[in-house]
Amino acid sequence: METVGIWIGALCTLAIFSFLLRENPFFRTAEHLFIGLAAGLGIFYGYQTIVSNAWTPLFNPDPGEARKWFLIVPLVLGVLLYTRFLKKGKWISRIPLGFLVGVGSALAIRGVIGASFMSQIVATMELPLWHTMAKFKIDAILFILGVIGTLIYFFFSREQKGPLKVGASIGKWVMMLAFGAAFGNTVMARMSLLVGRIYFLLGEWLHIL
Amino acid sequence: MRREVPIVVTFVSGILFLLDYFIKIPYVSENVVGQFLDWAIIVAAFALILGAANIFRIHIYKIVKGKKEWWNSLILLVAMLVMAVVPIIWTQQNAVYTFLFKNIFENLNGTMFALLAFYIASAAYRAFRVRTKEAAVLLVSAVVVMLGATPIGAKIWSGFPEYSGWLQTIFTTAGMRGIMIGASLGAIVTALRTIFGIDRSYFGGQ
Repeated sequence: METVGIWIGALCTLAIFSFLLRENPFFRTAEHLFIGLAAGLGIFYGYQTIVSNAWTPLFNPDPGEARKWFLIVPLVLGVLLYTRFLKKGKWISRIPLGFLVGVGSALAIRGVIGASFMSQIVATMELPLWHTMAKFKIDAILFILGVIGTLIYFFFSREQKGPLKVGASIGKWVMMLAFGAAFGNTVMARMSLLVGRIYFLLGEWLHIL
Repeated sequence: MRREVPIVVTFVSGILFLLDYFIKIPYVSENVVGQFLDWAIIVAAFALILGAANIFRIHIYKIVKGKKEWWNSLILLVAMLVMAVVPIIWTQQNAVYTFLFKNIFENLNGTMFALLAFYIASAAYRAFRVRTKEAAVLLVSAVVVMLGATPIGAKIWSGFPEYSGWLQTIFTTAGMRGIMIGASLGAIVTALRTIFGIDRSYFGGQ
């Protein structure tokens, strides 16, 4: 059975790689298979979430635990999403959608205020200026200049001339270095995946490696 | 009614959940607003199944009408149903589920992302043609990071791993931090626009 699995896996891998030559029927079949499996997984995880987070605590709670009646609300909202298949009641599906968007937006603000905004500013302000962060003594100064420069680069409320222009220029070069490094990291991550696939084909499948 | 009710729901749920971060109201915070996140997870799970139901509808139509390459739709539906039903009826330890996940899904998933290596190489060729000073800096930074992460880089010059780390600790973190602070302000404004019903694009065109 394991050999059959490896052969199927290898054929799937080759079908996807065949896209590099041109779009072809083998790729399209593998693509449909992939989407089908991914959607199936989505259904399973969705079902599992509903059962464990809503159905069981509401209708089948553990012995000694009270029923959580409030959970009827998300169950009803969830079912209302399916009204988008109705011709006349289509608009009702916007109610649960509105709830999702409202909570999602508020959650974004709550998350952003703490982790991405205040903490980042505080962490930058707390850096001792003459401090070796990585290699050189001026690293902390370079770092702070980089953060401030990047912020100035996106400051459009005033014409960028004089000190603002200098700051924006520093920001631009720091961002170029940052994007280059980020790109290099992305390339390496994709390459390691590619090496993994080639290792699978040449090693596990063909036993060459 | 059709427009107002969803906007009111968005506003009430959004503003209550946001205020709950700053002000705790006895009973309401704990039993209603405090549960909003759990409720949203449950509604999102329904939405996930709704997406699958939509895929099902589209591909059933293709099969019934005998559209071009309808067999691909059949493969998709069979794969979807088996992958969903098997772990629901039995468990995730079931042999069929494990076989499909390990031998097909994992391989397809890994290869799909590995395919991007080729496209990223082509993008690199276009981005790194040294026409400007900025492109040159981008190129040098990327090459140093790539060589720093590979054994051959250390063989060429032992300083590559060290300078790769330095570049990432100082410049990548500084640049990304600046961008993150700016983007946070944008995210807050966008979220507030949505909560207050100014931005309604999520309702679609109807």
